Amino acid sequence: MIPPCRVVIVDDHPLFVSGVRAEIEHDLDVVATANGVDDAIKAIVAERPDVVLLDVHMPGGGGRAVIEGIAATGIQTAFLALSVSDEPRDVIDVIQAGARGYVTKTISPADLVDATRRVHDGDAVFSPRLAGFVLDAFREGGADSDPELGRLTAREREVLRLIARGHAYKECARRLGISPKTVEHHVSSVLRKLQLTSRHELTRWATDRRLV
Amino acid sequence: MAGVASRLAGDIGVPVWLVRAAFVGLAVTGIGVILYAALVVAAPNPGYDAAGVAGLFRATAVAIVAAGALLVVRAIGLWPDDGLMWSLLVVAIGVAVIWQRVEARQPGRWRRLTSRADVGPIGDALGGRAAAIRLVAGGALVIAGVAGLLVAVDALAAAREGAVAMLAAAAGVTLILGPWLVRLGRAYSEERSGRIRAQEREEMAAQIHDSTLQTLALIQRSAGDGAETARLARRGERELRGWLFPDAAGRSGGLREAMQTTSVDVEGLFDVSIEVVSVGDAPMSEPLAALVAASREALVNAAKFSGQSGLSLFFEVEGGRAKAYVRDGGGGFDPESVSDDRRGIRDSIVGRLERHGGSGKVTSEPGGGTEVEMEVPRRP
Repeated sequence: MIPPCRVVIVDDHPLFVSGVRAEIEHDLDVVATANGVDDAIKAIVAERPDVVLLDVHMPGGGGRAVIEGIAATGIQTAFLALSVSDEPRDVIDVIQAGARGYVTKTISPADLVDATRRVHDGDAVFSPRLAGFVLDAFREGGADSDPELGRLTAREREVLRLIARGHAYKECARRLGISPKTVEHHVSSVLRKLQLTSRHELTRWATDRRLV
Repeated sequence: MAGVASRLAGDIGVPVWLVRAAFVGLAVTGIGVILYAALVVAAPNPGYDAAGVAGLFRATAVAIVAAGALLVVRAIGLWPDDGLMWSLLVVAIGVAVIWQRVEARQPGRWRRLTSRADVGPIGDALGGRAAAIRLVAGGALVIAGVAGLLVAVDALAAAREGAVAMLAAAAGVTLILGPWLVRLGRAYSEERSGRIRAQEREEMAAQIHDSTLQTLALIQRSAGDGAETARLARRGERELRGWLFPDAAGRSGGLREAMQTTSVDVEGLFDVSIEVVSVGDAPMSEPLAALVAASREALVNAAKFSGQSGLSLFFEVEGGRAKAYVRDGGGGFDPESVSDDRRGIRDSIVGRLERHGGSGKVTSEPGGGTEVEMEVPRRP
Protein backbone atom coordinates (compact mmCIF):
# COMPACT_ATOMS: atom_id res chain seq x y z
CA MET A 1 0.00 0.00 0.00
CA ILE A 2 1.40 3.37 -1.05
CA PRO A 3 1.39 5.87 1.81
CA PRO A 4 -1.15 8.68 1.29
CA CYS A 5 0.25 11.78 -0.32
CA ARG A 6 -1.34 15.04 0.86
CA VAL A 7 -1.63 17.63 -1.91
CA VAL A 8 -2.56 21.32 -2.21
CA ILE A 9 -3.50 22.60 -5.67
CA VAL A 10 -2.73 26.26 -6.42
CA ASP A 11 -3.98 27.95 -9.59
CA ASP A 12 -5.74 31.23 -10.23
CA HIS A 13 -8.25 29.55 -12.56
CA PRO A 14 -10.94 27.83 -10.43
CA LEU A 15 -12.05 25.76 -13.41
CA PHE A 16 -8.59 24.32 -13.82
CA VAL A 17 -8.27 23.62 -10.07
CA SER A 18 -11.51 21.64 -10.00
CA GLY A 19 -10.46 19.78 -13.16
CA VAL A 20 -7.13 18.68 -11.68
CA ARG A 21 -8.80 17.81 -8.39
CA ALA A 22 -11.29 15.55 -10.14
CA GLU A 23 -8.47 13.83 -12.05
CA ILE A 24 -6.21 13.03 -9.14
CA GLU A 25 -8.35 12.71 -6.01
CA HIS A 26 -8.83 8.97 -6.49
CA ASP A 27 -5.12 8.47 -6.03
CA LEU A 28 -4.00 11.43 -3.97
CA ASP A 29 -5.35 13.19 -0.89
CA VAL A 30 -6.24 16.72 -1.99
CA VAL A 31 -6.42 18.61 1.31
CA ALA A 32 -6.88 22.17 0.00
CA THR A 33 -6.99 24.34 -3.09
CA ALA A 34 -6.11 28.00 -3.47
CA ASN A 35 -6.63 30.63 -6.16
CA GLY A 36 -3.95 33.16 -5.33
CA VAL A 37 -0.54 33.72 -3.78
CA ASP A 38 -1.79 34.78 -0.33
CA ASP A 39 -4.47 32.07 -0.21
CA ALA A 40 -1.87 29.50 -1.16
CA ILE A 41 0.55 30.48 1.60
CA LYS A 42 -2.25 30.39 4.18
CA ALA A 43 -3.45 26.98 2.98
CA ILE A 44 0.06 25.49 2.98
CA VAL A 45 0.81 26.85 6.45
CA ALA A 46 -2.50 25.44 7.74
CA GLU A 47 -2.36 22.02 6.02
CA ARG A 48 1.37 21.24 5.80
CA PRO A 49 0.90 19.18 2.58
CA ASP A 50 3.49 16.79 1.16
CA VAL A 51 3.32 18.26 -2.33
CA VAL A 52 2.05 21.55 -3.74
CA LEU A 53 0.93 21.54 -7.38
CA LEU A 54 1.78 25.10 -8.30
CA ASP A 55 0.73 27.27 -11.21
CA VAL A 56 3.62 29.29 -12.63
CA HIS A 57 1.52 32.26 -13.74
CA MET A 58 -0.55 34.02 -11.10
CA PRO A 59 -1.26 37.63 -10.23
CA GLY A 60 0.85 38.88 -7.35
CA GLY A 61 4.21 37.28 -8.15
CA GLY A 62 3.23 33.86 -9.50
CA GLY A 63 4.54 30.51 -8.29
CA ARG A 64 7.87 32.01 -7.33
CA ALA A 65 6.20 34.25 -4.72
CA VAL A 66 4.49 31.22 -3.11
CA ILE A 67 7.73 29.22 -2.92
CA GLU A 68 9.62 32.17 -1.43
CA GLY A 69 6.77 32.92 1.00
CA ILE A 70 6.81 29.33 2.28
CA ALA A 71 10.61 29.24 2.44
CA ALA A 72 10.41 32.23 4.80
CA THR A 73 8.14 30.28 7.19
CA GLY A 74 10.55 27.35 7.33
CA ILE A 75 7.86 24.82 6.37
CA GLN A 76 9.20 21.85 4.38
CA THR A 77 7.13 20.84 1.38
CA ALA A 78 7.80 19.89 -2.23
CA PHE A 79 6.63 22.01 -5.16
CA LEU A 80 5.76 20.68 -8.61
CA ALA A 81 5.30 23.44 -11.18
CA LEU A 82 2.32 22.98 -13.46
CA SER A 83 2.12 25.42 -16.32
CA VAL A 84 0.49 26.22 -19.59
CA SER A 85 3.25 28.71 -20.34
CA ASP A 86 6.06 27.83 -22.68
CA GLU A 87 8.17 30.82 -21.76
CA PRO A 88 11.58 29.42 -20.77
CA ARG A 89 12.12 32.39 -18.46
CA ASP A 90 9.04 31.60 -16.36
CA VAL A 91 9.84 27.92 -16.12
CA ILE A 92 13.46 28.46 -15.14
CA ASP A 93 12.37 31.12 -12.67
CA VAL A 94 10.11 28.80 -10.68
CA ILE A 95 12.66 25.97 -10.77
CA GLN A 96 15.31 28.31 -9.45
CA ALA A 97 13.01 29.38 -6.64
CA GLY A 98 12.99 25.74 -5.50
CA ALA A 99 10.39 23.71 -7.39
CA ARG A 100 11.33 20.01 -7.72
CA GLY A 101 9.96 19.66 -11.21
CA TYR A 102 7.96 21.07 -14.08
CA VAL A 103 5.15 19.50 -16.10
CA THR A 104 2.79 21.04 -18.64
CA LYS A 105 -0.95 21.24 -18.04
CA THR A 106 -1.62 18.88 -20.93
CA ILE A 107 -0.08 16.00 -18.94
CA SER A 108 -2.29 12.92 -18.59
CA PRO A 109 -3.90 12.30 -15.16
CA ALA A 110 -1.90 9.09 -14.65
CA ASP A 111 1.38 10.86 -15.42
CA LEU A 112 0.46 13.72 -13.10
CA VAL A 113 -0.22 11.32 -10.22
CA ASP A 114 3.06 9.58 -10.93
CA ALA A 115 4.99 12.88 -11.09
CA THR A 116 3.43 14.05 -7.81
CA ARG A 117 4.45 10.81 -6.04
CA ARG A 118 7.98 11.08 -7.37
CA VAL A 119 8.32 14.65 -6.16
CA HIS A 120 7.01 13.44 -2.79
CA ASP A 121 9.75 10.80 -2.74
CA GLY A 122 12.34 13.52 -3.23
CA ASP A 123 12.94 12.90 -6.93
CA ALA A 124 13.21 15.61 -9.54
CA VAL A 125 10.62 15.52 -12.32
CA PHE A 126 11.83 16.76 -15.67
CA SER A 127 9.36 16.93 -18.53
CA PRO A 128 10.85 16.71 -22.04
CA ARG A 129 10.36 20.45 -22.39
CA LEU A 130 12.25 21.29 -19.21
CA ALA A 131 15.06 18.92 -20.25
CA GLY A 132 15.24 20.80 -23.56
CA PHE A 133 15.38 24.17 -21.81
CA VAL A 134 18.20 23.00 -19.56
CA LEU A 135 20.20 21.52 -22.45
CA ASP A 136 19.74 24.76 -24.33
CA ALA A 137 20.82 26.87 -21.35
CA PHE A 138 23.94 24.80 -20.69
CA ARG A 139 24.85 24.39 -24.33
CA GLU A 140 28.51 24.50 -25.28
CA GLY A 141 29.40 28.15 -25.80
CA GLY A 142 26.02 29.17 -24.44
CA ALA A 143 25.23 30.84 -21.14
CA ASP A 144 27.65 28.51 -19.34
CA SER A 145 30.79 30.06 -20.78
CA ASP A 146 31.58 31.05 -17.18
CA PRO A 147 33.67 28.16 -15.80
CA GLU A 148 32.36 28.92 -12.30
CA LEU A 149 28.98 27.58 -13.32
CA GLY A 150 28.46 23.91 -12.72
CA ARG A 151 28.88 22.44 -16.17
CA LEU A 152 26.85 19.39 -17.02
CA THR A 153 28.76 16.13 -17.26
CA ALA A 154 28.59 14.09 -20.47
CA ARG A 155 26.39 11.52 -18.72
CA GLU A 156 24.01 14.19 -17.45
CA ARG A 157 23.67 15.51 -20.98
CA GLU A 158 22.93 12.03 -22.29
CA VAL A 159 20.20 11.56 -19.69
CA LEU A 160 18.65 14.95 -20.41
CA ARG A 161 18.78 14.30 -24.15
CA LEU A 162 16.89 11.03 -23.75
CA ILE A 163 14.29 12.71 -21.55
CA ALA A 164 13.92 15.51 -24.11
CA ARG A 165 13.37 12.86 -26.78
CA GLY A 166 10.39 11.62 -24.81
CA HIS A 167 11.84 8.62 -22.97
CA ALA A 168 10.74 7.75 -19.44
CA TYR A 169 13.41 7.34 -16.74
CA LYS A 170 13.15 3.56 -17.01
CA GLU A 171 13.85 3.65 -20.76
CA CYS A 172 16.74 6.05 -20.23
CA ALA A 173 18.22 3.60 -17.74
CA ARG A 174 17.86 0.68 -20.12
CA ARG A 175 19.37 2.57 -23.04
CA LEU A 176 22.35 3.77 -21.04
CA GLY A 177 22.79 0.49 -19.24
CA ILE A 178 22.43 2.03 -15.80
CA SER A 179 19.84 1.64 -13.05
CA PRO A 180 16.76 3.90 -12.86
CA LYS A 181 18.09 5.09 -9.50
CA THR A 182 21.25 6.34 -11.20
CA VAL A 183 19.17 8.17 -13.81
CA GLU A 184 17.28 9.76 -10.95
CA HIS A 185 20.57 10.74 -9.33
CA HIS A 186 21.73 12.49 -12.51
CA VAL A 187 18.48 14.41 -12.89
CA SER A 188 18.61 15.58 -9.26
CA SER A 189 22.18 16.69 -9.77
CA VAL A 190 21.13 18.74 -12.82
CA LEU A 191 18.32 20.30 -10.79
CA ARG A 192 20.82 21.28 -8.08
CA LYS A 193 23.17 22.84 -10.65
CA LEU A 194 20.25 24.74 -12.12
CA GLN A 195 19.31 26.13 -8.74
CA LEU A 196 22.91 27.14 -7.98
CA THR A 197 23.41 28.93 -11.29
CA SER A 198 23.03 32.66 -11.01
CA ARG A 199 19.64 33.93 -11.98
CA HIS A 200 21.26 36.61 -14.08
CA GLU A 201 23.01 34.09 -16.32
CA LEU A 202 19.86 32.10 -16.99
CA THR A 203 17.78 35.17 -17.61
CA ARG A 204 20.30 36.25 -20.19
CA TRP A 205 20.01 32.89 -21.85
CA ALA A 206 16.24 32.95 -21.78
CA THR A 207 16.05 36.36 -23.39
CA ASP A 208 18.46 35.66 -26.20
CA ARG A 209 17.88 32.17 -27.50
CA ARG A 210 19.69 33.20 -30.59
CA LEU A 211 20.66 31.59 -33.87
CA VAL A 212 24.09 30.01 -33.88
CA MET B 1 -1.07 102.31 -63.01
CA ALA B 2 -0.98 98.67 -64.16
CA GLY B 3 -3.94 98.00 -61.87
CA VAL B 4 -1.68 97.09 -58.99
CA ALA B 5 -3.05 99.66 -56.58
CA SER B 6 -6.68 98.79 -57.25
CA ARG B 7 -6.04 95.06 -56.98
CA LEU B 8 -4.20 95.54 -53.72
CA ALA B 9 -7.06 97.67 -52.47
CA GLY B 10 -9.53 94.97 -53.45
CA ASP B 11 -7.45 92.29 -51.78
CA ILE B 12 -7.03 93.94 -48.44
CA GLY B 13 -10.28 95.89 -48.43
CA VAL B 14 -9.09 99.50 -48.11
CA PRO B 15 -9.97 102.42 -50.36
CA VAL B 16 -7.90 102.72 -53.52
CA TRP B 17 -6.80 106.24 -52.71
CA LEU B 18 -5.16 105.05 -49.49
CA VAL B 19 -3.10 102.51 -51.36
CA ARG B 20 -2.12 105.09 -53.98
CA ALA B 21 -1.10 107.51 -51.22
CA ALA B 22 0.99 104.80 -49.61
CA PHE B 23 2.80 104.15 -52.89
CA VAL B 24 3.41 107.82 -53.36
CA GLY B 25 4.82 107.97 -49.83
CA LEU B 26 7.05 105.03 -50.59
CA ALA B 27 8.06 106.56 -53.91
CA VAL B 28 9.40 109.56 -52.02
CA THR B 29 11.90 107.33 -50.29
CA GLY B 30 12.76 105.57 -53.52
CA ILE B 31 12.00 102.05 -52.33
CA GLY B 32 8.40 102.38 -53.41
CA VAL B 33 9.30 102.37 -57.07
CA ILE B 34 11.17 99.12 -56.79
CA LEU B 35 8.43 97.50 -54.72
CA TYR B 36 5.80 98.66 -57.18
CA ALA B 37 7.70 97.06 -60.01
CA ALA B 38 8.14 93.89 -57.99
CA LEU B 39 4.43 93.69 -57.27
CA VAL B 40 3.55 94.17 -60.94
CA VAL B 41 5.61 91.08 -61.66
CA ALA B 42 4.54 89.08 -58.64
CA ALA B 43 0.85 89.90 -58.58
CA PRO B 44 -1.17 86.86 -59.55
CA ASN B 45 -3.95 87.19 -62.11
CA PRO B 46 -7.36 88.18 -60.84
CA GLY B 47 -9.30 85.02 -60.17
CA TYR B 48 -6.37 83.08 -58.78
CA ASP B 49 -7.46 80.64 -56.16
CA ALA B 50 -4.33 79.11 -54.73
CA ALA B 51 -4.88 79.96 -51.08
CA GLY B 52 -1.20 79.90 -50.14
CA VAL B 53 -0.17 82.31 -52.91
CA ALA B 54 -3.11 84.56 -52.16
CA GLY B 55 -2.24 84.67 -48.46
CA LEU B 56 1.40 85.43 -49.14
CA PHE B 57 0.52 88.09 -51.66
CA ARG B 58 -1.97 89.67 -49.30
CA ALA B 59 0.51 89.68 -46.43
CA THR B 60 3.13 91.34 -48.64
CA ALA B 61 0.62 93.92 -49.76
CA VAL B 62 -0.43 94.73 -46.21
CA ALA B 63 3.19 95.04 -45.12
CA ILE B 64 4.00 97.41 -48.00
CA VAL B 65 0.96 99.56 -47.40
CA ALA B 66 1.70 99.75 -43.68
CA ALA B 67 5.35 100.55 -44.29
CA GLY B 68 4.38 103.19 -46.88
CA ALA B 69 1.92 104.79 -44.48
CA LEU B 70 4.50 104.86 -41.73
CA LEU B 71 7.09 106.42 -44.01
CA VAL B 72 4.59 109.06 -45.12
CA VAL B 73 3.90 109.94 -41.50
CA ARG B 74 7.64 110.04 -40.85
CA ALA B 75 8.30 112.27 -43.86
CA ILE B 76 5.58 114.72 -42.81
CA GLY B 77 7.26 115.06 -39.41
CA LEU B 78 4.54 113.63 -37.15
CA TRP B 79 7.04 111.12 -35.86
CA PRO B 80 7.43 110.56 -32.16
CA ASP B 81 10.71 108.70 -31.96
CA ASP B 82 12.52 106.00 -33.92
CA GLY B 83 13.15 103.85 -30.84
CA LEU B 84 9.50 103.91 -29.86
CA MET B 85 8.33 102.87 -33.30
CA TRP B 86 10.85 100.03 -33.57
CA SER B 87 9.66 98.75 -30.19
CA LEU B 88 6.06 98.83 -31.33
CA LEU B 89 7.02 97.01 -34.50
CA VAL B 90 8.73 94.25 -32.51
CA VAL B 91 5.68 93.91 -30.24
CA ALA B 92 3.42 93.73 -33.28
CA ILE B 93 5.49 90.98 -34.88
CA GLY B 94 5.54 89.02 -31.63
CA VAL B 95 1.78 89.23 -31.24
CA ALA B 96 1.34 88.22 -34.86
CA VAL B 97 3.52 85.15 -34.37
CA ILE B 98 1.55 84.01 -31.31
CA TRP B 99 -1.85 84.72 -32.79
CA GLN B 100 -1.03 82.94 -35.96
CA ARG B 101 -0.47 79.82 -33.90
CA VAL B 102 -3.74 80.13 -32.02
CA GLU B 103 -5.70 80.81 -35.15
CA ALA B 104 -4.20 77.88 -36.98
CA ARG B 105 -4.78 75.39 -34.17
CA GLN B 106 -7.96 76.43 -32.44
CA PRO B 107 -10.78 75.75 -34.90
CA GLY B 108 -9.84 72.23 -36.04
CA ARG B 109 -7.88 71.23 -33.02
CA TRP B 110 -9.71 68.07 -32.04
CA ARG B 111 -10.09 66.98 -35.60
CA ARG B 112 -6.38 67.41 -36.07
CA LEU B 113 -5.65 65.46 -32.91
CA THR B 114 -7.70 62.49 -34.01
CA SER B 115 -6.69 62.53 -37.64
CA ARG B 116 -3.05 62.65 -36.67
CA ALA B 117 -3.13 59.01 -35.57
CA ASP B 118 -1.58 57.92 -38.83
CA VAL B 119 1.23 60.46 -38.62
CA GLY B 120 2.49 58.73 -35.49
CA PRO B 121 4.39 60.03 -32.50
CA ILE B 122 7.19 61.54 -34.54
CA GLY B 123 4.90 63.81 -36.52
CA ASP B 124 3.19 64.64 -33.25
CA ALA B 125 6.38 65.66 -31.54
CA LEU B 126 7.44 67.80 -34.48
CA GLY B 127 4.13 69.63 -34.60
CA GLY B 128 4.21 70.17 -30.86
CA ARG B 129 7.77 71.40 -30.91
CA ALA B 130 7.19 73.82 -33.79
CA ALA B 131 4.19 75.28 -31.96
CA ALA B 132 6.20 75.63 -28.76
CA ILE B 133 9.07 77.34 -30.57
CA ARG B 134 6.64 79.76 -32.13
CA LEU B 135 5.10 80.51 -28.77
CA VAL B 136 8.45 81.09 -27.12
CA ALA B 137 9.78 83.20 -30.00
CA GLY B 138 6.61 85.29 -30.12
CA GLY B 139 6.62 85.78 -26.36
CA ALA B 140 10.26 86.81 -26.41
CA LEU B 141 9.57 89.33 -29.15
CA VAL B 142 6.66 90.81 -27.23
CA ILE B 143 8.65 91.09 -24.03
CA ALA B 144 11.66 92.59 -25.82
CA GLY B 145 9.39 95.04 -27.62
CA VAL B 146 7.64 96.10 -24.43
CA ALA B 147 10.98 96.51 -22.68
CA GLY B 148 12.30 98.62 -25.56
CA LEU B 149 9.11 100.67 -25.48
CA LEU B 150 9.45 101.35 -21.79
CA VAL B 151 13.10 102.29 -22.15
CA ALA B 152 12.35 104.56 -25.11
CA VAL B 153 9.53 106.36 -23.34
CA ASP B 154 11.14 107.00 -19.98
CA ALA B 155 14.79 106.45 -20.77
CA LEU B 156 16.78 104.89 -18.00
CA ALA B 157 15.18 106.72 -15.10
CA ALA B 158 12.08 104.62 -15.11
CA ALA B 159 13.78 101.51 -16.44
CA ARG B 160 13.68 99.73 -13.13
CA GLU B 161 10.03 100.57 -12.60
CA GLY B 162 9.39 99.39 -16.11
CA ALA B 163 11.10 96.10 -15.41
CA VAL B 164 9.03 95.63 -12.25
CA ALA B 165 5.84 96.44 -14.11
CA MET B 166 6.83 94.02 -16.83
CA LEU B 167 7.52 91.22 -14.39
CA ALA B 168 4.18 91.90 -12.75
CA ALA B 169 2.46 91.76 -16.10
CA ALA B 170 4.24 88.55 -17.01
CA ALA B 171 3.24 86.99 -13.69
CA GLY B 172 -0.33 88.06 -14.30
CA VAL B 173 -0.38 86.52 -17.75
CA THR B 174 1.08 83.27 -16.40
CA LEU B 175 -1.54 83.14 -13.65
CA ILE B 176 -4.34 83.69 -16.11
CA LEU B 177 -3.17 81.38 -18.88
CA GLY B 178 -1.25 78.81 -16.78
CA PRO B 179 -4.13 76.59 -15.68
CA TRP B 180 -5.63 76.68 -19.12
CA LEU B 181 -2.35 75.59 -20.70
CA VAL B 182 -1.91 72.79 -18.16
CA ARG B 183 -5.45 71.60 -18.76
CA LEU B 184 -4.92 71.68 -22.47
CA GLY B 185 -1.74 69.64 -22.18
CA ARG B 186 -3.38 67.09 -19.93
CA ALA B 187 -6.41 66.72 -22.17
CA TYR B 188 -4.11 66.19 -25.09
CA SER B 189 -2.04 63.46 -23.44
CA GLU B 190 -5.17 61.73 -22.14
CA GLU B 191 -6.66 61.67 -25.57
CA ARG B 192 -3.39 60.31 -26.95
CA SER B 193 -3.08 57.42 -24.51
CA GLY B 194 -6.76 56.63 -24.97
CA ARG B 195 -6.18 56.33 -28.66
CA ILE B 196 -3.24 53.98 -28.14
CA ARG B 197 -5.36 51.79 -25.84
CA ALA B 198 -8.13 51.69 -28.40
CA GLN B 199 -5.68 50.58 -31.08
CA GLU B 200 -4.33 47.79 -28.89
CA ARG B 201 -7.83 46.62 -28.09
CA GLU B 202 -8.71 46.54 -31.76
CA GLU B 203 -5.64 44.49 -32.57
CA MET B 204 -6.41 42.05 -29.77
CA ALA B 205 -10.04 41.78 -30.86
CA ALA B 206 -8.96 41.08 -34.42
CA GLN B 207 -6.56 38.36 -33.27
CA ILE B 208 -9.12 36.69 -31.02
CA HIS B 209 -11.68 36.84 -33.79
CA ASP B 210 -9.34 35.32 -36.34
CA SER B 211 -8.18 32.42 -34.22
CA THR B 212 -10.13 31.76 -31.05
CA LEU B 213 -13.65 32.72 -32.08
CA GLN B 214 -13.32 30.85 -35.36
CA THR B 215 -12.06 27.80 -33.53
CA LEU B 216 -14.88 27.95 -31.00
CA ALA B 217 -17.42 28.20 -33.81
CA LEU B 218 -15.93 25.13 -35.50
CA ILE B 219 -15.95 23.25 -32.21
CA GLN B 220 -19.65 23.96 -31.75
CA ARG B 221 -20.37 22.55 -35.19
CA SER B 222 -18.42 19.38 -34.55
CA ALA B 223 -19.42 18.97 -30.90
CA GLY B 224 -20.40 15.34 -31.42
CA ASP B 225 -17.01 14.40 -32.85
CA GLY B 226 -14.58 14.13 -29.95
CA ALA B 227 -11.45 13.68 -32.03
CA GLU B 228 -12.27 16.61 -34.28
CA THR B 229 -13.05 18.81 -31.28
CA ALA B 230 -9.74 17.95 -29.65
CA ARG B 231 -7.89 18.68 -32.87
CA LEU B 232 -9.56 22.08 -33.26
CA ALA B 233 -8.93 22.97 -29.63
CA ARG B 234 -5.27 22.09 -30.04
CA ARG B 235 -4.92 24.19 -33.14
CA GLY B 236 -6.62 27.14 -31.44
CA GLU B 237 -4.31 26.79 -28.48
CA ARG B 238 -1.23 26.73 -30.71
CA GLU B 239 -2.30 29.84 -32.59
CA LEU B 240 -3.16 31.78 -29.47
CA ARG B 241 0.03 30.70 -27.75
CA GLY B 242 2.11 31.68 -30.74
CA TRP B 243 0.57 35.11 -30.58
CA LEU B 244 0.92 35.54 -26.82
CA PHE B 245 4.44 34.12 -26.59
CA PRO B 246 6.09 34.87 -29.91
CA ASP B 247 9.49 33.85 -28.54
CA ALA B 248 8.37 30.32 -27.70
CA ALA B 249 6.76 29.95 -31.11
CA GLY B 250 10.15 30.84 -32.51
CA ARG B 251 9.72 33.47 -35.21
CA SER B 252 13.37 33.08 -36.01
CA GLY B 253 13.09 32.15 -39.65
CA GLY B 254 15.40 29.28 -38.76
CA LEU B 255 15.22 25.57 -38.03
CA ARG B 256 13.09 26.01 -34.91
CA GLU B 257 10.37 27.89 -36.72
CA ALA B 258 10.36 25.42 -39.60
CA MET B 259 10.03 22.48 -37.18
CA GLN B 260 7.23 24.22 -35.26
CA THR B 261 5.33 24.90 -38.46
CA THR B 262 5.76 21.33 -39.62
CA SER B 263 4.50 19.84 -36.36
CA VAL B 264 1.46 22.13 -36.36
CA ASP B 265 0.74 20.98 -39.92
CA VAL B 266 0.91 17.33 -38.96
CA GLU B 267 -1.25 17.95 -35.88
CA GLY B 268 -3.80 19.53 -38.18
CA LEU B 269 -3.80 16.55 -40.54
CA PHE B 270 -4.02 13.79 -37.92
CA ASP B 271 -5.51 13.42 -34.50
CA VAL B 272 -2.22 13.74 -32.62
CA SER B 273 -0.48 16.22 -30.36
CA ILE B 274 3.25 16.69 -30.82
CA GLU B 275 5.54 17.79 -28.04
CA VAL B 276 8.28 19.81 -29.73
CA VAL B 277 11.50 20.29 -27.78
CA SER B 278 14.36 22.24 -29.26
CA VAL B 279 17.96 22.81 -28.27
CA GLY B 280 19.63 25.55 -30.24
CA ASP B 281 18.60 26.97 -33.56
CA ALA B 282 20.27 27.66 -36.91
CA PRO B 283 19.51 29.51 -40.12
CA MET B 284 17.93 27.26 -42.73
CA SER B 285 20.09 25.51 -45.30
CA GLU B 286 19.51 22.71 -47.81
CA PRO B 287 20.47 19.88 -45.44
CA LEU B 288 18.33 21.40 -42.68
CA ALA B 289 15.39 21.66 -45.06
CA ALA B 290 15.89 17.94 -45.78
CA LEU B 291 15.94 17.27 -42.04
CA VAL B 292 12.64 19.11 -41.63
CA ALA B 293 11.09 17.20 -44.53
CA ALA B 294 12.32 13.88 -43.14
CA SER B 295 10.98 14.77 -39.69
CA ARG B 296 7.64 15.48 -41.25
CA GLU B 297 7.64 12.07 -42.94
CA ALA B 298 8.50 10.43 -39.65
CA LEU B 299 5.76 12.33 -37.79
CA VAL B 300 3.16 11.45 -40.42
CA ASN B 301 4.29 7.84 -40.30
CA ALA B 302 4.01 7.73 -36.51
CA ALA B 303 0.64 9.49 -36.57
CA LYS B 304 -0.71 6.93 -39.04
CA PHE B 305 0.65 3.70 -37.67
CA SER B 306 1.55 4.00 -33.99
CA GLY B 307 -2.00 4.35 -32.71
CA GLN B 308 -0.70 6.94 -30.25
CA SER B 309 -2.06 10.45 -29.86
CA GLY B 310 1.07 11.86 -28.20
CA LEU B 311 4.27 12.11 -30.26
CA SER B 312 7.62 13.67 -29.44
CA LEU B 313 9.82 15.70 -31.73
CA PHE B 314 13.22 16.64 -30.38
CA PHE B 315 15.91 18.40 -32.36
CA GLU B 316 19.27 19.77 -31.49
CA VAL B 317 21.91 21.89 -33.20
CA GLU B 318 25.34 21.28 -31.78
CA GLY B 319 28.63 21.99 -33.45
CA GLY B 320 28.36 21.49 -37.20
CA ARG B 321 25.52 18.98 -37.09
CA ALA B 322 21.79 18.95 -36.48
CA LYS B 323 19.91 15.96 -35.10
CA ALA B 324 16.21 15.24 -34.89
CA TYR B 325 14.32 12.47 -33.13
CA VAL B 326 10.71 11.51 -33.67
CA ARG B 327 9.33 9.15 -31.10
CA ASP B 328 6.02 7.48 -30.34
CA GLY B 329 5.15 5.44 -27.29
CA GLY B 330 3.24 2.90 -29.35
CA GLY B 331 3.45 -0.86 -29.49
CA GLY B 332 6.49 -0.80 -31.71
CA PHE B 333 7.23 -3.41 -34.35
CA ASP B 334 9.90 -5.72 -35.53
CA PRO B 335 11.86 -3.81 -38.16
CA GLU B 336 12.47 -7.04 -40.09
CA SER B 337 8.79 -7.79 -40.52
CA VAL B 338 7.45 -4.49 -41.78
CA SER B 339 5.37 -4.32 -44.91
CA ASP B 340 6.89 -3.03 -48.14
CA ASP B 341 4.66 0.00 -47.87
CA ARG B 342 6.20 1.12 -44.59
CA ARG B 343 9.68 0.19 -45.65
CA GLY B 344 9.19 2.52 -48.61
CA ILE B 345 8.39 5.42 -46.31
CA ARG B 346 11.37 4.59 -44.16
CA ASP B 347 13.64 4.50 -47.20
CA SER B 348 12.36 7.87 -48.30
CA ILE B 349 13.36 9.31 -44.92
CA VAL B 350 16.79 7.67 -44.88
CA GLY B 351 17.43 8.25 -48.58
CA ARG B 352 16.58 11.91 -48.35
CA LEU B 353 19.02 12.44 -45.48
CA GLU B 354 21.82 10.49 -47.14
CA ARG B 355 21.60 12.64 -50.24
CA HIS B 356 22.53 15.59 -48.02
CA GLY B 357 25.40 13.88 -46.24
CA GLY B 358 23.31 12.76 -43.30
CA SER B 359 21.94 9.53 -41.94
CA GLY B 360 18.75 8.07 -40.55
CA LYS B 361 17.90 5.10 -38.38
CA VAL B 362 14.68 3.56 -37.11
CA THR B 363 14.73 1.79 -33.78
CA SER B 364 11.70 -0.11 -32.69
CA GLU B 365 11.00 -3.04 -30.49
CA PRO B 366 7.71 -4.61 -29.58
CA GLY B 367 6.37 -2.83 -26.48
CA GLY B 368 9.09 -0.17 -26.48
CA GLY B 369 7.76 2.29 -28.99
CA THR B 370 9.41 3.47 -32.16
CA GLU B 371 11.99 6.16 -32.64
CA VAL B 372 13.40 7.65 -35.82
CA GLU B 373 16.86 9.15 -35.40
CA MET B 374 17.99 11.62 -38.04
CA GLU B 375 21.16 13.60 -38.52
CA VAL B 376 22.52 16.01 -41.14
CA PRO B 377 25.42 18.47 -41.39
CA ARG B 378 24.31 22.06 -40.90
CA ARG B 379 25.73 23.17 -44.24
CA PRO B 380 26.11 21.27 -47.53
